[in-house]
Amino acid sequence: MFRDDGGPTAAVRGSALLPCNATCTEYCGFIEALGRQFRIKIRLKSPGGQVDAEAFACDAELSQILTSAGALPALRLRLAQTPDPASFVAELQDVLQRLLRAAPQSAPAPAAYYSRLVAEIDKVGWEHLVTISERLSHLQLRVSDAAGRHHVIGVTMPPDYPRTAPTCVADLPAPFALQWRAGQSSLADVLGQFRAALAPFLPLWEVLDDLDAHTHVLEPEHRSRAIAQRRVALAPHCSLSLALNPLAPRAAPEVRFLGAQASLAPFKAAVRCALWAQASLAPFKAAFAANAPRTWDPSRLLRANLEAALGAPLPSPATTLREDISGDCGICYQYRLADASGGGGSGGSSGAVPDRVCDNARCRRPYHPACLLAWLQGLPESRTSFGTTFGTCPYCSEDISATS
Amino acid sequence: MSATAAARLRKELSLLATDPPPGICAWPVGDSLTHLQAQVEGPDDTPYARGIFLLDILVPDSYPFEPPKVRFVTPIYHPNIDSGGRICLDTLKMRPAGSWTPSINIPTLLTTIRTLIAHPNGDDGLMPEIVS
Repeated sequence: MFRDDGGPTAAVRGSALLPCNATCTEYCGFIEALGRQFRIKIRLKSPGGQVDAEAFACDAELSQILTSAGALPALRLRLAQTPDPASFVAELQDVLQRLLRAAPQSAPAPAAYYSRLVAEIDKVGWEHLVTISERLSHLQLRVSDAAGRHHVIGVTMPPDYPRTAPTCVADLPAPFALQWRAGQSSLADVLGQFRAALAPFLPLWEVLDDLDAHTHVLEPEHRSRAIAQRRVALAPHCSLSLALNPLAPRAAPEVRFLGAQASLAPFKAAVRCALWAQASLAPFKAAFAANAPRTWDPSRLLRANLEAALGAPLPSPATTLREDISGDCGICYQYRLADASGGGGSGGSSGAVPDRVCDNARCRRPYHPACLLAWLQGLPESRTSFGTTFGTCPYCSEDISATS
Repeated sequence: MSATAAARLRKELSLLATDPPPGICAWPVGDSLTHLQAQVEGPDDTPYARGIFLLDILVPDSYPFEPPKVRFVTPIYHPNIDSGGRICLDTLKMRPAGSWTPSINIPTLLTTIRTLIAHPNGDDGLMPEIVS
């Protein structure tokens, strides 16, 4: 008599799974979800008993759905708790239905889309195409500006292109807003508008390229055309953080000094004097400015102005090594702190740099604030007030403090 | 072991490999970064000259905030080193009892130990019978 009560000899109820060995510990077959079928194979720890979640196997399509959603580890955990094959299958079906509902419909676009896309690329020229995705839905186009810099724009085509505008991602200091007229605009318009959007920033890139080529840029680690901020080395353990106005890059930038206060003082005085004299910055000080030397000249590049203001050239990669300019942290021996929080945010600045420098002029040892704090907090003689821990420098034993 | 410790140890090991201090050789045991061994040559013009002393170094997870644990494997007759190879050296101890700081690394620590071999510290003997 054939039993259909989920017993060891039966097929698994509610599914198209059949035993594939004599002891009924292995099953294979199909699982259905939202009208799609996937082939799976399971192994039981004992006949009719728990399913071995580790030995679960499935076809490539299902595996791709599960891994792309990142659901596999959680699914394995849930499946390991099911008591028998029937509940295992029910659980799997439940998860699968949810994943398939959440996943976007990825039906291929109509043939007209492809012929139109190819015609549009023909029109703009294939030399502008950098990459294109497998389904021809995402492409990158490249243009060169007047100075020969390459700029790439990422274009993601919507399913109902060209009725809906494509989404564009560009490496620009300002967001790129695409003007799209349904049915009339094409990739040529995208490139045309991108070229127009590049134009206002050409002076900015000229200034930044000059800085990048002739100074030690400490930040951002990974340059991007969108970032109008630079931190350049000034002297050993001293640096200058510059925030430029993307649309007026030759005007005096916002300047912040980083490093030991004692060694920065002369630089600060020089730059402050130069900025003070700039009429546009402080119009109400015009009388003073007229008398003071006008050292900031907007017709020069930023680097030339800075060097004039400082009265000395900025350290250049041609003349100095980066190691001489900015040393590694005296505690962890790294330049970039291995960041536990994974802070690779905007500007690609991953991990702190050792910018806490011992104030003792003969020590000048740089530390990551976090490393120094960890050491000072462990010292029996250190004391903490208002979030600042006071102790002594590990190298020279002078007083030093770190703020949490 | 923390990322800080691992990164720093890798740097120290490359330093030991490319530019070792005089009379000192150190290497990792197996693939582990936390277990090292070192050889220290007995300093010239001392009774230890021409001797090679093997040391065992265990690096704690919280290195460099805590000192490594160093022990002589080779038996040595020395007032500051006991029969079990334990070393009486203030740089090997945490504050306030000792004077470990992160400014000390394994190359400098081994150099300090080599100096200790040459210049025993009679005031702080682990082996009172040797001091006299």
